[in-house]
Amino acid sequence: MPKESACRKCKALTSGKVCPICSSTDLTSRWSGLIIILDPERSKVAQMLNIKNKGRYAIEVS
Amino acid sequence: MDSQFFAIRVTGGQEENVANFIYKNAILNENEVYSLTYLTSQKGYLIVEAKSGQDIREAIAGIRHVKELVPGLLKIEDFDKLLIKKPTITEYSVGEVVDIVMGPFKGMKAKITKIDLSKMEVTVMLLDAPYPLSLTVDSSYLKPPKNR
Repeated sequence: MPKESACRKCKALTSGKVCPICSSTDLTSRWSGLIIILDPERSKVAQMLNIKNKGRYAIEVS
Repeated sequence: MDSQFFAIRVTGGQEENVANFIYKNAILNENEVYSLTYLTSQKGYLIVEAKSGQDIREAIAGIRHVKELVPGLLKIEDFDKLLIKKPTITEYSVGEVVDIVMGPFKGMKAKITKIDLSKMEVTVMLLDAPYPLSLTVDSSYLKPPKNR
């Protein structure tokens, strides 16, 4: 599986060329850490990071 | 009921694969797993947020590279500082003198003249060069001086 890219704005991971969350094209392959949000309404991690959508996110993006 | 945080010990290097499998399992089994976190500073461990330990035990059942569900609970305060990481470029300001730590100019001092946040690039003027030399480098090439 090719390495995914992370959106520099919202840190969402995608294997495409456009961020699935914020539609930004400012993506980078240099990211580390992983957060998978399954239930953004009940997850404390999602609330702390202000994540409103399910999905996979990087922790650090450069 | 509030969510609880658990740690799972997994084979080193397989953290992301295991997280993806747990993600799929939790959706298939409809377990109340709310989030999965892999911190690169905590190799060999995943942090799972779920309603109960039983939900996690069901979600990790049969997944290769899962070693154990670590007994006990974590608090979000134990790892929240590791979740929010500011990019190093935001630590710099124009006019600041920094050390170059990579590339052909490694070891030289330079003064920041421009910061491009969108490209994560910094334009610097070399201080140790005999003539004014400006170059644009990635922020990872720079390090703040020790006596900051």
